[in-house]
Amino acid sequence: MNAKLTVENLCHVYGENTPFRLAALDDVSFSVAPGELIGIIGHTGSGKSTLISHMNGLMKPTSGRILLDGADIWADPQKIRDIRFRVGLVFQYPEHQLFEDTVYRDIAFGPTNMGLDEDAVRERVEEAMEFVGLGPEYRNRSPFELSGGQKRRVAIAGVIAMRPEVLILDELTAGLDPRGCQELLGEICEFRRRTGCTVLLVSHSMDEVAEVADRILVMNHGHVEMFDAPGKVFAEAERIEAIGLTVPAVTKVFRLLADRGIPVNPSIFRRADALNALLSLRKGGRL
Amino acid sequence: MNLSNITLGQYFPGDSAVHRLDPRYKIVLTLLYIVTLFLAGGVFSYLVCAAILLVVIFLSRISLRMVAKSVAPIGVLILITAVLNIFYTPGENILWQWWVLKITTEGILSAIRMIARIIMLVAGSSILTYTTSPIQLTDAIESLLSPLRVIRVPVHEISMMMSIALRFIPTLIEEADKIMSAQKARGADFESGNVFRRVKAMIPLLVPLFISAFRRADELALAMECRCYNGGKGRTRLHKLKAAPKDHVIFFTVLLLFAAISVAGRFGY
Amino acid sequence: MDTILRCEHAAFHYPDTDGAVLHDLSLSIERGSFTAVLGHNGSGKSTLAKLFNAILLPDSGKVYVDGMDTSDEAHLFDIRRRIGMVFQNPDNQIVSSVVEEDVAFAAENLGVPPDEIRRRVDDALATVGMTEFVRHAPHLLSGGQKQRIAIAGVIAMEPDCIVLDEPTAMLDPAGRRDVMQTLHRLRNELGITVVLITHHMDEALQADRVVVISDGRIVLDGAPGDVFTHCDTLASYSLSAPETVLLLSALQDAGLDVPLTAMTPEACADAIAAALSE
Repeated sequence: MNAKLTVENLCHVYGENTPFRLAALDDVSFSVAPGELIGIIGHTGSGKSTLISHMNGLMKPTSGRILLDGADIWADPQKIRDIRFRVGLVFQYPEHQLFEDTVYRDIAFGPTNMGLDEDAVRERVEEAMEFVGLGPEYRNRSPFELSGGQKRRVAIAGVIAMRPEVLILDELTAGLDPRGCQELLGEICEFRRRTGCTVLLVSHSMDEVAEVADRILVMNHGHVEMFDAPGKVFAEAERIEAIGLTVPAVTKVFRLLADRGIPVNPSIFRRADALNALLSLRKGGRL
Repeated sequence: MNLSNITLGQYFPGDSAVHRLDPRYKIVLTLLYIVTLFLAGGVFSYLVCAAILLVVIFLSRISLRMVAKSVAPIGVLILITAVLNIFYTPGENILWQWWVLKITTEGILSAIRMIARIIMLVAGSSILTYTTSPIQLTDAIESLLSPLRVIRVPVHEISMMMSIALRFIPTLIEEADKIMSAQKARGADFESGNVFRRVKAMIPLLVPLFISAFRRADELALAMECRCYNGGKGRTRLHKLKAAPKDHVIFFTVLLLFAAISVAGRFGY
Repeated sequence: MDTILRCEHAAFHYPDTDGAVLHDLSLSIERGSFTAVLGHNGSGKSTLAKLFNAILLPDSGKVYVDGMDTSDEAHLFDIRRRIGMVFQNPDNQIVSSVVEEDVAFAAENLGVPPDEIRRRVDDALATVGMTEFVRHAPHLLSGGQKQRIAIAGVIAMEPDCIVLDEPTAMLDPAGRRDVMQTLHRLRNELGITVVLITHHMDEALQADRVVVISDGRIVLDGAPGDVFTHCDTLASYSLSAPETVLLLSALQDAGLDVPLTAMTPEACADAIAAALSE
């Protein structure tokens, strides 16, 4: 299958030719299939923010290329704005970007910039509001009087309304309580299921992405440390812990169980899988 | 456009003689230097002013290139001043003339004088900010203005506002950068169109920036209250400004030097 | 019990809003303890924090700090000195553009002599492990480092108690870990009472006592080993028990004999291993 998004030997250097030269991205290469949900994990300073700013052309590579549907996004620098409509980027704390006096007008900002007519804009805004669980009653409310979680939904809807082919979310759930995290994550998964949109979820929490990601990209010091299915990534727990990240709690328990000589797969990370594994073990033991 | 390149009141930490001088004296001497520049008259007094500047730059161990950088942004101003002086200084000794425009020896000399003044003025002030931390500057201003308390000028409040402003400039620049990226990701265009369109394009940047600044102000006020802030009354300081005998000696020596230059300048030297 | 903070039937609502944020809330915090206050967004936990140092006063009921009524203006600065506050956004509580000046801020406000401020600043920075940053500009530090500077600024007041309102919500895992370690050091080495308001279960797990607040009322109160076994109750308040407890609970439902109190991964693995070997 053709890749949706391909990153080829991407390098980004800050302050070239100064004493402060810093290679934020060092020969990063990977590709993402259409409709995949990728978790991008790394601690602060691992280069993940720099990486995603390249995906929609907010930053220009020092060297290397980013291909969207096989075409270099910088092939025509005049058209970089069109790339930004196709690759939607939701920054950390996106509620800080809200500026319009109504929810509707704020969400309409992106589609309007695309040059769509009023009907098309309305259709997209309504659709986006539905995706993030904002009912029509929110249309004319001021985004500034909403709760934190709702403000964030408005901001996300503002990007979804551009109908991006790739949606990148940076620290989607930062600062939300457990229920808020789950709901928002659920809405994004549902959005992806219904639209087939490719989703990149950037986080510094393994627990958050383990449940939902098809593959996990682990960034460390500006390069790709690992890029594989969650089970395979967690199988190398030592390596993950060595770069200052943690594995999900269930994986921790299963690694300890394996150490204690119990025949379980130490890379299990979902609670349901854990339960099945343990129960089958018990049945096996009794037979 | 990259906002993080903006540097305001840049300070280069160091431990040179210039860094160590009491900031109050530094401010006063910088002001007096500017006055002296305008009282200077002849070649001799200008050369002495330039020599003083070079000695101070040398003592501060700030590179000449950094000082030159501080002058660069006002290049256009210098150019305009030079042109105005060349063409508009009345003089007898005409070197070149066309229509109403004429260049005289007096005009050229006056232009050179003005350029020298402006460059030395800016370079001198930049040495002050390069060698004095923002905290020291605001403390010094508070201390210098303290006599005004008698006439109920809120000196402490003014200096507190200045130091908080300095503290938040980098934070707000960073924030503006982030908001700009976020709006660009939604197709905002900050870089094309006529002036009217560009101003309008700033709204998605400015509204969130103001909202955030107000939120920050609210939270900061709360945090300050929680840390027992109650205005300047009864407040002590970790670093109290205290001029050493050496500072007095330096101050009065330089003061006399400036006075001598000014007098010499008045007599046309 | 030596009580440092006491709420007696405190009720509160914000002006111009309907509905109370806190209802008839009574709570005592023991001196030297480490208490986590847990609740979802909007549960009233931040409002409670503001009652503790007289930023807000209850509509009815009383709040006492070390026996002093917070509504008595005469005690205002004494109360604020004793109860240090740390907030969520580290950027918005740093006053100065030099670390040491910022840490000195509260002590300066209290009129502490310069030599003593110097000693307190150095001690406070050592306690939070930030000594090497004494002359740095705070805006160049990481979130976790900024938050530790904010904590140092509070300890320089030499408070009896420190109340932190979601101090780790904006931090990455490394920053969160550093802040939590600092809090343990404050409690264990300086004997400072810690009240940590959070919605991170793993942080609450490290406290000696967990108080769960929902809709302005205390709904659960006890040792973490006790509170977190109430999986369903927690879920009904938009919170969730630690992953280990959820796993143990599911195993229990399936008929395996495991205790819900085995919350750390080690204890959990031990419990499961023991149950399987039966």
